[in-house]
Amino acid sequence: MATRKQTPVVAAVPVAAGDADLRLAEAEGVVDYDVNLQSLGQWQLAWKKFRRSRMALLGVAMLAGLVGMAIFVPLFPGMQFDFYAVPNPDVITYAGRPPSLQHIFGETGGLQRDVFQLVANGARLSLFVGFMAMFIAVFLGTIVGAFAGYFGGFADNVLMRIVDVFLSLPLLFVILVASRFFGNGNPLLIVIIFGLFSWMGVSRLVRSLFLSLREQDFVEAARAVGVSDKRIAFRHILPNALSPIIVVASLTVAGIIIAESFVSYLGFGISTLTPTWGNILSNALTFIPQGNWWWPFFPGLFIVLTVLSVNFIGDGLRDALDPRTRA
Amino acid sequence: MTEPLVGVASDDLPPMSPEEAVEIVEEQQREEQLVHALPDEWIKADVPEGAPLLQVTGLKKHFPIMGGFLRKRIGTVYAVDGVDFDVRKGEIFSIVGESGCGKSTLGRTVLQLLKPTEGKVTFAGEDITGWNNTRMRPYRKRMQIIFQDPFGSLNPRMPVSDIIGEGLMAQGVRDGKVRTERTESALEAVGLRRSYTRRFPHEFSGGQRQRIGIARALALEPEFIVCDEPVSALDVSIQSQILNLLLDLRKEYDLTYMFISHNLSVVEYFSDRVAVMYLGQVHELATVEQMYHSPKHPYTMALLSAIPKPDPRIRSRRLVLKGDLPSPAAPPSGCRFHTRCWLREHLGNPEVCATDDPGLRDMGEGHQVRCHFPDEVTADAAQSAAHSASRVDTAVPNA
Amino acid sequence: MTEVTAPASPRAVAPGTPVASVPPAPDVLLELRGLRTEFRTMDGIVRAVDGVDYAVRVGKSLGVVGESGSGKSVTALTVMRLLESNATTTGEVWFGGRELLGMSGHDIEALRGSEMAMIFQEPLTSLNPVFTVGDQIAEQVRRHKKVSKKEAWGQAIEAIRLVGIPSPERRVKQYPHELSGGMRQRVMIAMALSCEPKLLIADEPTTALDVTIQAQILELLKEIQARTGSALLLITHDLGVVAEMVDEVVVMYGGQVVERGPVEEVLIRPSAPYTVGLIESIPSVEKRGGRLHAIKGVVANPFNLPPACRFEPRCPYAWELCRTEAPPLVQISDSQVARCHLHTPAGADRRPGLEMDRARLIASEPGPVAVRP
Repeated sequence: MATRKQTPVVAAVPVAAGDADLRLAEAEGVVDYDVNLQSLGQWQLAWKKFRRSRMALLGVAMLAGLVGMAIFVPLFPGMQFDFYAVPNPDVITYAGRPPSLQHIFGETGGLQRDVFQLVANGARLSLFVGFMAMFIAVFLGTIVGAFAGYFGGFADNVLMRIVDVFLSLPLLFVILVASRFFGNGNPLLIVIIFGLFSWMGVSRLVRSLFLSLREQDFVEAARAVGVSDKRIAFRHILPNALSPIIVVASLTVAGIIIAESFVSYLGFGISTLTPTWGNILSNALTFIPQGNWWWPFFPGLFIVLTVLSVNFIGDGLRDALDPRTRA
Repeated sequence: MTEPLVGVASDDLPPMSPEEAVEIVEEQQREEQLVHALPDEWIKADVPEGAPLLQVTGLKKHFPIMGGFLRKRIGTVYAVDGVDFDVRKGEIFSIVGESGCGKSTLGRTVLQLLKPTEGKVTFAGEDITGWNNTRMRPYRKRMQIIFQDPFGSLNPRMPVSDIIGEGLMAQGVRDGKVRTERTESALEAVGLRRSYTRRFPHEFSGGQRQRIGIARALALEPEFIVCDEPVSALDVSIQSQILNLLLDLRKEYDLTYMFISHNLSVVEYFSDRVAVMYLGQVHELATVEQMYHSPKHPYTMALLSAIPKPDPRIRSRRLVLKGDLPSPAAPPSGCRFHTRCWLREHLGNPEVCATDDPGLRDMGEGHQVRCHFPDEVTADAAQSAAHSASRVDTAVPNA
Repeated sequence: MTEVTAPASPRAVAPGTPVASVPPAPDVLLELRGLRTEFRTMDGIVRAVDGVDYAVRVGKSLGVVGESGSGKSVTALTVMRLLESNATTTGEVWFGGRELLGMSGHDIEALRGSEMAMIFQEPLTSLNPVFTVGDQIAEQVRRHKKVSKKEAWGQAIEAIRLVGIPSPERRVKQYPHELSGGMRQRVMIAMALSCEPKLLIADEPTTALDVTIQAQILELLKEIQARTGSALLLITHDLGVVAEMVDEVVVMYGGQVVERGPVEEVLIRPSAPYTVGLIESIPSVEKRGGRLHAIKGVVANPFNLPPACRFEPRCPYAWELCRTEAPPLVQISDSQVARCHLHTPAGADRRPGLEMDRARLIASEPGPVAVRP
């Protein structure tokens, strides 16, 4: 005979029919007046709520337009930026030409480039810098914050002191210096530098999220049924922490784009070999005494539009992902 | 591992026909599959009814208070400070007390969700004190917990099937079909529809969520469940549903409960034995009959008196305690209750209450009290204390 | 600090329109007539309070009992005009001979705090953490009485003494977080009483407190009511608290009044099935060993109300009429009303079912309790 351990209980003992009915009746003798056929998960609910916010949708439309412009416009003939392709190499005037039908954003002074071409190409790099640096910052910040928040104790202390050190640096100054000396105008390095100096806020947020989520009952419940720590961190805490992280991420993009513009405007950022909105501004402002309002205006306008759209999306996401607002 | 029965028959029995043998083998194989769905270390406790299933001796749980620039330890919260009791198989043992008494901490420490600072916890004869997550895992399916907050105890981003199935997975039930079956049976056992596995917590009411929490514990087929204030967050009309459910489940699945509550009426109805906690210590331990008919501790009497009774005809003078609950980080000296004790005042403020901790005294038949003067705790003494106390001036500062 | 600017009158009717109704008798301090409050939400309009009438007499106390979603708190907030701007209220609220819903924001602010005051459930969040308790009480005093700062401070100290907090001179300079829950609730009561209001509204004043502290606060409220003669509107879910504290009780479910009457009548001889069910389901030591009576189903959700009788899905006596027609409020006796078809001629032959359960409740009168004082 097979040696078996004691009474094998396979599945829960089926409840006697009468009892089940009574219990079911007790639990719910209710008809669903408000029939809800779909069982929506959290993400689907969030999408539903997001769709409802007009501001958020506007932001998405704007951003889509900007990204579209960045990707597609330079593909058109005549819209490619070539540092060395100057329309009129022999003529150098100070004044550009205001917006006209052929050049809808006007022409620059100096080398008389089409401003629309500049802005469209600049969009590529500015948006790239914004989003890439954001990914680096969020990735770094989440890892550091998660570690510190989940394990606490010594690790937490050490990591947070490192964050403090980074935060105590005069950020803009450091970015300026680093961009100049290490970045050398190279876009990729600039992206990395921005990412390296923007992760601190994210890490603090993630740390506090992990600290508070760790104490939640459902985490304790998972421990009580035997779930391993690793699985708790990934399956329970992280998904619940994602919403605030996403919101912060979207708002970080705005901050980075502005920072990049500022840094490039000062001449410490990406070199003018490739345009960004910031360095277009930088060039433009030396020619301001001659007029040329359209030259800095349009890049500036697009910076504002990008920041606005990202902020709208961030706000919409925050409301959509908040479990307290009903769909 | 199993040898087929065909051809192996005891001398007494007639030889089996091939069909019978095949049947037996198939049945064995089926059982084999199902048994192997459960982890190997699983054994149901061999504890007979009435014998101690859980034994707690000298249990203490202290939390350090950190502060200051260098995060030094500046104090301690004595959440549980020396608790001894047994929970017998098949009984409902209640821990009752107000905030700061340490009852929730006690519940979690017993399950080793918090590591005890001192003392011993024995479950079914095995000393589980201080075991870490890995060592405790096989015991987790035998000792479960139901939480107070139906809204916070379920992960809002997981469907019910995962919430319950996760525990089964952690306990080694690899077969998805078995998990689904056990999840659905658990839901049915608590009075919810099987189809609810697809739903998310936010689609349920508080009472239903609490049922899901119970199903989560039940799916693992535990023997012992710590119920941490399971009905306190529910509406009154739902409380009785859940209490009925818990009683039914106890009968059907042969469960033992450690029921934590601050509501003495519920405890009186529901439990077999009660421990009254105050500031981390047990001050009275008795059966419900003993406690109801002859409470021997002044705090218990005050608790009983403080409950508002839903009968407007009972307009009795109430025994109101002076002052606020002391902080568990700074418990009073001697008997911790002495700063608010009406009996002490009634007896003229004897010194011993402030200097010596009474320790648990046995009053006979398992009735234990932590008091220097348990025999003075009578209805008459309480009456006169209630009448002499001023109604309004009862907020005496302790700090 | 704790003031909230009142929005303009929330009435559906434009303010200034002459109110056709007659003010109540002088001994009725507060009267609600046909009060309905709706909230505009993302999902549409939710009616949290749907036709509520009750009255509080001068110097007497009324308890409003209900579970979550019953509308009991919203009713009180409506009386104080403390609702958000997405709330629309119809009906009438008469206080001291004046109609409140049609009043301007300025007038209602003069009333609030001085003639009617409210204490809330959660004392921690109801007190401003950045001001001392003395400041908060003194501010209340100065708003409604013309006294100097020094005098207001003195009155604050006195108010704190009156609610039984010893060393009031010391306590008055403390911040809310330095006090315990019970003390904070006393401070709230002191604040509410500082201007000697005629009506004190208490919204679940002891729910967040431990039972021994709850006992203190309930005794305090009784004492204060006896001393100052103010009326009390007590909102709670605890039938025990109601039994002890009030003269008359209103039971609410799903935004409506389902029973109303003197507390001895309603709690001992309840007439509405909901009340019967509630009382029967209270656990007590006498019920040991048996199953508790439980009201089946889930509590009515204002977003998802049954079409006719709101209690029907949970009612053990319900029949087809209950699903098609909403039951009226029926006068059971001189002082008691209940909302149920069973008390109308249509339900006459089904009444014995309810009567049997009522009889059982009445018969299970508790004897003199052994030990408690």
